[in-house]
Amino acid sequence: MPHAESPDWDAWPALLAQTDGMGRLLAANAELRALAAWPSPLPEGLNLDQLLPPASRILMQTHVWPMLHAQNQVRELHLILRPAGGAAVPVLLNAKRSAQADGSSTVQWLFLVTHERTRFESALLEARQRAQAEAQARAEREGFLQTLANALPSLVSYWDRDLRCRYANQAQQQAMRPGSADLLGMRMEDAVGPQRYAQKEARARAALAGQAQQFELQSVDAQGRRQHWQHDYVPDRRSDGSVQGFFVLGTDITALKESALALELAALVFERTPQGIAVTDENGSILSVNRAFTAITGYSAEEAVGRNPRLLNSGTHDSRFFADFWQQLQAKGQWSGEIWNRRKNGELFIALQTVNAVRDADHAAQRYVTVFTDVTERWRDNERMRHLALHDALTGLANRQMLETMLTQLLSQMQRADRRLAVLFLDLDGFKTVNDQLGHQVGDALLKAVARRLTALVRSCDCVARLGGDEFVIALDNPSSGDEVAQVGERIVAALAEPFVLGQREGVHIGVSVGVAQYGPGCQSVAELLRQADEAMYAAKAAGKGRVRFSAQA
Amino acid sequence: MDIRHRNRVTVLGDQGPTLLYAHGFGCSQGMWRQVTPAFAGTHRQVLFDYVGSGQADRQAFDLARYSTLDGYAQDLIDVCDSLGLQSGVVLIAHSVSCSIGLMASLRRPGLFERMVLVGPSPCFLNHPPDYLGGFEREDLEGLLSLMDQNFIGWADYLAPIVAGAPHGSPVSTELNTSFCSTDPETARVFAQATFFADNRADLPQVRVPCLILQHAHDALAPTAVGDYLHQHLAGSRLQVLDVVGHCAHLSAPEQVVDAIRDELARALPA
Repeated sequence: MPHAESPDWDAWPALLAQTDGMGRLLAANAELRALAAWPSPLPEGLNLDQLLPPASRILMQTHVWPMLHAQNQVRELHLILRPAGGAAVPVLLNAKRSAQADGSSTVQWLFLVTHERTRFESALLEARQRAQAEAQARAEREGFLQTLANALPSLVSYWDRDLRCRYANQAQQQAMRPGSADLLGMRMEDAVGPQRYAQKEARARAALAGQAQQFELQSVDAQGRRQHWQHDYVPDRRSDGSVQGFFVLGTDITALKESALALELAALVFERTPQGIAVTDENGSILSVNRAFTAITGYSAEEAVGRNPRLLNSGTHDSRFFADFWQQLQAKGQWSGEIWNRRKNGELFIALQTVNAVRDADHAAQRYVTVFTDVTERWRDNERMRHLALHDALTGLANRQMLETMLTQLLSQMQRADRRLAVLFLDLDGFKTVNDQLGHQVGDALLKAVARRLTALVRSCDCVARLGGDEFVIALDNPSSGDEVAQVGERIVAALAEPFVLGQREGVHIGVSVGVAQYGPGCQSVAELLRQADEAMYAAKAAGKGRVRFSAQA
Repeated sequence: MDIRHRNRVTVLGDQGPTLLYAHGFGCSQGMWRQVTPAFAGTHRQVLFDYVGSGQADRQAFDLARYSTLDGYAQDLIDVCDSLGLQSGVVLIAHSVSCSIGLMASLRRPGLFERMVLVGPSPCFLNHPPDYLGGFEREDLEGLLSLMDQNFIGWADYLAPIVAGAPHGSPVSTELNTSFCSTDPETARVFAQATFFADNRADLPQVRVPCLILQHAHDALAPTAVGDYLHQHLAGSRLQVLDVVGHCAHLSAPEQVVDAIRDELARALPA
């Protein structure tokens, strides 16, 4: 039998019900009756399950009833009520079970509709989730900063107004207290030792006074290597302007310092080296030149930079020379050799030059480094020596060695073509008398004058040589005929028969005997040519001087 | 592995035939406390919690294993093995444990002498027209949603706020454990395994004598389901308890005790 309804229940603004221990309805208040459309008094056989959609029914059977039996109560459980033909109503269930004297039990049910409450809860839930997310983000941020600070090779720390350490990253901890006590909370004086402290204290005080500090210190590491440190003390200024402490950033600038020194040295070498240096980019534009470049070429750095090295072009070398130059530079990355250049003042000079194709420090851009020495003087000395070796010191004519070299060359050409070659052997007539009577100086002057006249009589391709004393040899390169040779001989005899004016001396008379040998079947070597010409000359002398005689074999 | 620790195995008494109690979804071995006193002294009674329920070892929870009833049937067999039980066991099972027990009996023929099935259902879903388990798929989705709401809104969220205590404090833990399924994740998995299971095909193979205790008015396992079981379980007996609801062992334990006594007094069929 249902219990009598309490009038009080109907006044309550909640859904209330009473059931037996199996959920059979004993009573329901007005709100619940209205929701379920149950009449009053309640008919028999109603069950709470009738208000529950399937999902809630399962939860009721699998959780609510077991809990009621285990603990006699259920608090704040979400359920859905759905009366037949009605809409779903989300509720929070509170229930209490009480045992009766007869061993049976009754259960009091309170359902709170949760529309409003859910909104409130979701606001709370959101607030809590937001707080959690913020806390997590903060933790992640701090963790990230911690990781970041520890990943830095630099020393990072923070010191408060009492110069006590409030933070130190791993590098700082390792640098100051390797393997020993935690730096945190230590006074700077104790952490760094008295000597270091003396170097740092004034800086620290200044930072605490609000002035950022940057300075360098040197130290020696465990392996005895000198280290350079740059220290930054950055004041930690609060919004009210007060300084609460300062951040320390210690950066190892040893490598920087060392490379700066190395660079300085390299620059010094570049600038001071006695060789001229020009660096160009891949387009051949001059990037830099050194002092020696300016000294050698006459172009200052300002004048040279941005120009092409062609400004030194002497015009001496043909296009093939430069084609070879580039070909070798591309193929081997280097060219070296001698090259004629022109100074700013127009003077030619010869440079012993090396050009290297290099990549700059980043391996990015192609550079050409030209290093050269002005070897003009040396070259001139060499030329002089070579000239001396091959020429007669007195007259400047070719000497015997050069004559033989030239004859050898001419003979080698004879094999290949139908050419002629004639050798004229000259011996002055009466020279000894002049020399003995007028002296060596006049004799020498006479020999020089003879040389001038002989040189004037022949073509530039012909060779005039003095063998010594008063003997001369003339090699005629490819004369047109024996007659022409004879004519040259006759002109020589005539030219030297003219009187000479030697300084104060006028009317100095000499003569010449000429022997001629020509290239032919019986005369095909230098020695043979000279021997036959010599014989012919003697024959000319024997025949009465002032004559031209051809060799019999010719 | 220590099964007795893992499944929180409780053994009451050391004499007489063995009664093995298996709890249903949402419950734990504590639900049998009004039944066991009746057999103290005459029987050795074994109780346990499935992994994921009650006080069982949470660390042993394996999602793949416990996603189907097979894993729970293996728990049941593991418990018997850990106690050296090989035959003659009387299984007293509630709700989904009835299906779990039937599966175990097929895997270990001879282990169970007989079974008492309280509120069994081989399949909670409707498969019209032949079978009406009582529920549609979306009802079970609704259950999972309600469970989530209660775990999140009540145990996890409201408790700390109401009590003014941080998450994980003793207060919130106490409120948490008062909800039978202590762990939202494992409870969801057990709920899905339970309500999406279909063990109808197992029934004709079962050789163990079964007593079906059908609640007269059961919102979860209606009488038609009890009739279906009775028809398909060879040699079964069907007894309807005058109980409203799904938990006779809680709401009318004396009826359950009487039925078990009566069953135990019966001779086994030849």
